[in-house]
Amino acid sequence: MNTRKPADQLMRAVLWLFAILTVAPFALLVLTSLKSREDLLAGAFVLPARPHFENYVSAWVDGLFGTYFLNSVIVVVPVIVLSVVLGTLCGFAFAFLKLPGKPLLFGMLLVGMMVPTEAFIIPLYYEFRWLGLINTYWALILPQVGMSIPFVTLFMTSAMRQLPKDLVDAAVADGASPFRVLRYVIVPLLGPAASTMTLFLFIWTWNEFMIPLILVQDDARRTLPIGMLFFQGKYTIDIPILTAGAVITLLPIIIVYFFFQRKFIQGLTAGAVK
Amino acid sequence: MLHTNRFGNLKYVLPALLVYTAFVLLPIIASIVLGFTEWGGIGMPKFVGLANYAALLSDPMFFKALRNTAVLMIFYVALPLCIGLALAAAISHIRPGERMALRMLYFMPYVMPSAVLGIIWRWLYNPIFGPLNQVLRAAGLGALALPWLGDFNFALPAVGMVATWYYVGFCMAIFMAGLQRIDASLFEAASLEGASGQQTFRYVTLPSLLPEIRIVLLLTIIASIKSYDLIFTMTRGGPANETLVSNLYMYQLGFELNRYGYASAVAVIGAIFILVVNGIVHRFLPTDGDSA
Amino acid sequence: MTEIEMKSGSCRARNRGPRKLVAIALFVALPLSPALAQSLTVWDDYTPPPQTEVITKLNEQFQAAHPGVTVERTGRSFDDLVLTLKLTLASGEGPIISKANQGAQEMGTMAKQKNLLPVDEYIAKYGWDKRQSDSILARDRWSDKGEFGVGATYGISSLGEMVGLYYNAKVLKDAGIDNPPATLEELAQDIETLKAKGTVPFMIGTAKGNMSLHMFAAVSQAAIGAADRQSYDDLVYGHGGSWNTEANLAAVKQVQDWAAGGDFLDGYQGIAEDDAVQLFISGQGAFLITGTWHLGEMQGNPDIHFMAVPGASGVEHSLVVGGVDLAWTITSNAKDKATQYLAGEYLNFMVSDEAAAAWATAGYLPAAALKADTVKVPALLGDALAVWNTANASNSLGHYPDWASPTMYKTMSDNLAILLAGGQTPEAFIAAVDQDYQAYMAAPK
Repeated sequence: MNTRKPADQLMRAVLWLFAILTVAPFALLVLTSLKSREDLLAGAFVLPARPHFENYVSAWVDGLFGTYFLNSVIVVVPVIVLSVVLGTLCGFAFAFLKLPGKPLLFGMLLVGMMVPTEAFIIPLYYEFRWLGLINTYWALILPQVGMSIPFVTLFMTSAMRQLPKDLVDAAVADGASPFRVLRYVIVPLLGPAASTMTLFLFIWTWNEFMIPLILVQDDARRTLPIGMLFFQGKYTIDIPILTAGAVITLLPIIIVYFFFQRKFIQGLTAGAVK
Repeated sequence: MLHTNRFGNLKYVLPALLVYTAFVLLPIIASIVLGFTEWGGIGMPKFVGLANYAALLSDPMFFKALRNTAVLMIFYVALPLCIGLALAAAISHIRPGERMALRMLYFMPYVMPSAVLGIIWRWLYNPIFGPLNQVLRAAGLGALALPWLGDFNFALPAVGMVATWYYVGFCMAIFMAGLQRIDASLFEAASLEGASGQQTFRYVTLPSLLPEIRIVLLLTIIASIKSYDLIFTMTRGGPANETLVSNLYMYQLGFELNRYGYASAVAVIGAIFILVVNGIVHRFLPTDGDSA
Repeated sequence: MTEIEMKSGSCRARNRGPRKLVAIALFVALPLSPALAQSLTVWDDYTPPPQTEVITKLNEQFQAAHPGVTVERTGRSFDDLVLTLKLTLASGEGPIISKANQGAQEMGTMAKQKNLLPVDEYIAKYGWDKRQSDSILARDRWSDKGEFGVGATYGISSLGEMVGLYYNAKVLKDAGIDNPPATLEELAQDIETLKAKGTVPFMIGTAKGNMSLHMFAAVSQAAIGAADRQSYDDLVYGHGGSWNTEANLAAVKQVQDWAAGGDFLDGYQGIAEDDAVQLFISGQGAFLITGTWHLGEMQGNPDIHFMAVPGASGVEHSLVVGGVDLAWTITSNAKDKATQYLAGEYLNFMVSDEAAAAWATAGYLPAAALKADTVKVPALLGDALAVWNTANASNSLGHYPDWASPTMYKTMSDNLAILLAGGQTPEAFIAAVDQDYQAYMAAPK
């Protein structure tokens, strides 16, 4: 198509303008995180006399964003590992093995995919109270693994079904046990699917709000989004440090996003359409 | 099929199902049961039958929450769908490299934690210290420098606009993928027949994108019913419940007022809405052979 | 209470014999140290930086006086406390000592669920009742039947608290006003004068609802003389009555008129209390109605003064909204005697003369009377102390009306937002408040 037409050029300009407006809040965030409180009074778009990196130190140390960051990592890693491992095993069984009551089990998982967390957060809270696990990492990890399992299972099932059938059949003909087939034939081919899954799980778990809000009240166990929420209540007026905290919260996501954006967008959109 | 020992194969699914059942399925069932009781958080729940649901029918706060969700659907569903479609159509005329760069920028909000975005937007909307009103005043539009999140007429749209911003890129990306799926010969045929850009869009693009439209509708409608993070961090339902939504109401009833039975009934209704929407979208926008 | 008992709390679950020996040995060696290697988790709401400074210093002093004890402090905003304290205590977690909001929604609920321990034992032991008046201590009392103001006492406060009128003398002077208003009528005149000069009369931010609630409470109670306070006390203490009074109605009308007349900062609906205070300190606005918890920051601008919200002319000893700040409470996490004893010690230190002096030096209002001449009182605190002493002497310390029912805070702040936006008549506002109250009175406790 011809991009030289003036109308098309105008369209391009408009598209870029809106794109820049879309990301403008993030740019403003970074800019503000480098200001002093005095700089702030000069206006939102005025550059500071010098960058105040000490805001990041304040946020990290005094604002406890260091603790929150560590907590987020401590929660995200096991959630990803457990979900992918359990979901892959489960997906393998759904894709290739005979199971008693398979449709029923499948339907059970579908329920969890459609019902939102909000619908069962009250019993979940009391369950963890009963287990004595409120304010522990377990309270953050276990429910999020449970919530991820239906999605990972279905995703892995469909990924495995798309593998070349001959490969699996050949392995079976050689007399390999199901586990060996999974371990040595299928898993090596699941790299792309597993990495897409890892990206999704990373982002969902990093961003999770309801679970840590309700199941953890101890500051020492809060993850970044919740820490940010209460930091805001405590220091509403300290915008530079608040924005520095926001940058700390968003930066890992932004980095991952820039590196894997194609995979991200394709995965999310394809996953949605499936 | 591998292996015929059906029960032996259960060992592959049991670990996953156990975790899932313990922390998702059982709580869901408990929530449904709790919805039929009155419970203050201590002692035994008292069975009250359908009393909670009957009370909901005459609860003005619940209807206010529903009304707000209906308004929010303009911003969660209609606007992202239309803008996303327009952007996808416009962007398809641009060179692939540039197209990908634009897509990356538009898509960016969607990967962020919406709770944190809510906090950021609260600052952007602050009428005195926030950048938005500073821009408006600098542009000589001081009359438009409203108190946004504190304004009875504008709080809900202000929250809604953030949702639109959040979902536009996502919708656009889905439609872009859809456009690539469409057979290029269709467009060629249309242009040979002398169809205008608008006609092509109306008679070729739109019908071909029906599967994508369906999925966008499904996801954004569900998102609007679930909307909670943004509102919790931006307004907590204020001013005076003008931005109250059902999940926030559930939270207040349960964790602030210890009315866990009634709160569960609210949560169950929300889940039912989502299931119904799922059903409706699947039923009325059928596609050929798609398994979704 | 013996030393041995206390130690058993700090290192229980070890083998008993040697521990006892060690305990006795230590008892001999360190007769003054109350406990060994005990950590005390404390939640407080002293999050504004000037307050954090004071509490940090006090905690250090407490630790110095109690070797082996570490205070593990978490500062939480008011919102954070309200959101999490009840939940965390109910799950058997959380702090040993926490600040808690008085009133039905917080302290009442937690007392009922037995998540707080009565402190009457320590009142007798340390003589707190001689340091703080009974009317102040009554605010922390809840009976087993859920009645407010009677029964066991569940806490004690460090700071006195009043909601009053801050004014910027320089801004007033620039508008040609030499003296602050003595009556509501004078205030009305001043507002007109200020508006004519293009000055914002009232700084306020209602995004969170508490500032409008405090304004309404202050204006309505200023219309009640100390001699006529009984019915208002009854209302707040849950003895029944009606909110449909002349004073309440007039106050609602007044606040609505101010909002409608453009007497508030433009955009006030979208900013919160902290924003408003910051703007006021920077010299914007002539008046600001809020509490003494902002004294420390406010003294950053020497033109700012504090006074009681003026009542209508003819009212003697107008009630001043307030009482005390959130109370220090001992939670059900203090399981053994030793921990409870140590917690009692902590509370006692927080209401001591020493603590009072530290707060006063930083510009905040202690609940107990200051020992004369021990502290150089900052000027702004001097204003507040004068109001405080008069209020106490004339029995005119009022109440936070939101303590009256568990839902009153939300009912009032929501309806005030509607009222200020002109979406409700004053009569409808009062009706909504009364409906909330009567529903609570009718409900089984």
